[in-house]
Amino acid sequence: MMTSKFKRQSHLVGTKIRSLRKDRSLTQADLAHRIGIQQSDLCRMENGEYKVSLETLFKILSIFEMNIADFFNEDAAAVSRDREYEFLREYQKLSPRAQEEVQSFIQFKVQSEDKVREERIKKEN
Amino acid sequence: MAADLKATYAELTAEGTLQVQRGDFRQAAEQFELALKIAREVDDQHLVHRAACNLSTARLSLGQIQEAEKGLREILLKSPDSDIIFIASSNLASSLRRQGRLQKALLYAKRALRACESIDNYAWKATCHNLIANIYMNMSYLDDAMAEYRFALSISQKGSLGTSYPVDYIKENLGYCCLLKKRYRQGIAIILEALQISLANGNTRCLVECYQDLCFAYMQLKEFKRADEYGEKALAIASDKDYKDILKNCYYLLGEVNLLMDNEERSDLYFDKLQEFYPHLPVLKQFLRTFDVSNIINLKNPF
Repeated sequence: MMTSKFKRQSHLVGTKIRSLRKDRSLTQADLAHRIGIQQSDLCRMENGEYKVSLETLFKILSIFEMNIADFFNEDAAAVSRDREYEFLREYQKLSPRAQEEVQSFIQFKVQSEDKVREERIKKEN
Repeated sequence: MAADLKATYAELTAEGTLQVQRGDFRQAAEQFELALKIAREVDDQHLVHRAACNLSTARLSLGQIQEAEKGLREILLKSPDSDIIFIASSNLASSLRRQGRLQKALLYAKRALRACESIDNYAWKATCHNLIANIYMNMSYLDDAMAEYRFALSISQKGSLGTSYPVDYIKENLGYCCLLKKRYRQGIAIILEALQISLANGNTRCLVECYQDLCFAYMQLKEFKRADEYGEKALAIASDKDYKDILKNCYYLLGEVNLLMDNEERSDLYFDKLQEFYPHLPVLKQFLRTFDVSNIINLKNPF
């Protein structure tokens, strides 16, 4: 599960709503009608200018429920990429000696996990 | 006999009005229902209309939107009385606002404003501008909303309303509008003023909104401990008074605040509580854990 530090910014919600709406071939008028808001307000919402109640936000989620898995998968992948970049940035800040230590530690972790895996396979056989 | 009944009617109406101002809407509705019965018994159209309007006010505050709207349009057609036209129009505006029909709501709010021009009641004039401001805030026209709130406050000063109703609400709303414009410190200062007034006036509804909005403000300022404290206060009152809209907002806010404090267990607890209101939406919790929606949410949008 993602932690709060990696939560996606809300402006992406508006963008995501627009792309989901387009994926489902819904016009702004159609979706606005289903949510119960004005078309102009939906347009402002997609641009991040219109603030909605929790109620309306959840109504939108209900409408897109079929696509919600995509909603999450894509963003989970983005979060994972963010964490890797973050790690790389931190790593680059280290001194050459510290970088070597990190590399040794990673090697050690990889070897121990390999060992555990091999033992598990042996047991299963 | 009729005089006795009219005296009882006046007592019930006064008591109900006080209860509305204190946020005890259920009790207020009971008083107004009794008053309506009496008005029908004495067959006084003016009293019937007035009691029906008052009952509508209490029902609106209880979230019984359809019930609250019943009969108001008919009253508007029949009554020549500015007082009645004011209450019926502003209640219709409030009802439509809660349904998200904001353009229509604005029309009725402006009608209410016209009606109260001829009435020497500064509290009503201020209430009316507060309502128009609320509609603008729901439309996310924040500058227009702030201008209306400030105008409502200036009317309150002109009418020497001091800290009486509806000054507490106007300040609270103005403070929240500042928060939406990301002027957090300014918003907090105004909401704290509203909080003091609400405490003095015994206005629980306004008080709970102050606590809720302070929770939001401190969350945005990343002062999570304070946010948590205010959120808990709001939650306690909302549970006690059965303010469902505030209850949902509090579960969201406390879930979010605790997530940001890395108190995942408590965060889960609150998001689970919120989830109970939306059993058809099993992804809700995951969604809130994944996305920061605090900047696209208006806690005062009732629809």
